[in-house]
Amino acid sequence: MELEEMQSLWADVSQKIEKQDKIQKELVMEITRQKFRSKLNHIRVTETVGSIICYIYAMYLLSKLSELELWYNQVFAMITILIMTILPIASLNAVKGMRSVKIDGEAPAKMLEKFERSKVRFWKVQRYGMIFGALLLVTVLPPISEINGSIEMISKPLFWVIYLPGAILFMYLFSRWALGKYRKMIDASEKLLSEL
Amino acid sequence: MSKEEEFVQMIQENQGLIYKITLIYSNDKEEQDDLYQEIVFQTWKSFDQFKKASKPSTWLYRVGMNTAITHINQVKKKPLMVSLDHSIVNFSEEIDAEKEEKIQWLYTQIRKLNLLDRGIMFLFLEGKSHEEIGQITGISTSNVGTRMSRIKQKLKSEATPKPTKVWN
Repeated sequence: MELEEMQSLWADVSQKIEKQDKIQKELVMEITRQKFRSKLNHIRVTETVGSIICYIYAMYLLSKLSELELWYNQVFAMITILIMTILPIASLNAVKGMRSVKIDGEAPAKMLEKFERSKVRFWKVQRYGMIFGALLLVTVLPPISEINGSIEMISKPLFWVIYLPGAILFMYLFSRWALGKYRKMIDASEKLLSEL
Repeated sequence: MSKEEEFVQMIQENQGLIYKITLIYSNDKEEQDDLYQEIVFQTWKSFDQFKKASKPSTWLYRVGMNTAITHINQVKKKPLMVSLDHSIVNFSEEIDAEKEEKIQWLYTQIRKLNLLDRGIMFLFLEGKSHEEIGQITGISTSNVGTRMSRIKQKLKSEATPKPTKVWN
């Protein structure tokens, strides 16, 4: 089909659309009011609750830090606290960045650029979030075992023989999956950006 | 005239334009309804800017396209659509079968383009010149030309198959 034929088809569509009855005033205002309300109600519960849980756990671990006697558990606890503090901030910031792209009379090419950039940032944070999440699963268990009095279990060499290679293997597989999962999305956005 | 009345009048005068943007940027009827509502809402949110705009039509094209660009990506899983008793976009005038088939093919092909190219193609179909398309979308006139030839090639390379789904 030639472009001219497409234009003529589109003109037909336009003509038919213009013939339709005018949308009722009440309906326009109802849409506006209800959309406003539904947006207010749509609080990002998962992200907020997730962050609160992270902070509570980080504070708990921080309060118990002095009780940890084993040096590696102190290191693990510090890593856990760091991840649980920084990750929610980065994640919430990235989400906020993507949602705060303001829709106004700006040129769509500029808007698309801003939006895709914030999307790339969001996916990158998600990707690292997954990887650090896997690291967290490794570092969180030994300190908690010591705090709970199960120090004997983690003092046994057998525990480390099984736990360490298992944890490393899990982290490797999980990171590979996370990297693959988000690479496609980041690549698509970056391709679009390069074409702008 | 109150702000509310001015806004409603503007929506009524441009409801066809909004509807056409939703046609280009949606993949199904639910998405289309949701996008229509979102454009109305975003237009209301920035309506004060519209009154100051030197070219109101350019402004509305931009808000419509910008809403589509940001909204479609964000609501893939579950649209934040409000439930209304009435149908908002329900244009169902009879068109002869052959023409309908061609129109559906056209929608399908346009929806395969990336977000910006879809807008460019839409403006081209609306009869806008390359210069006007450049002004509205924010890219140079020569870039519009380049993109239009690429779009033309893409569309030409496609056969004219029967549409899989008719929903408008």
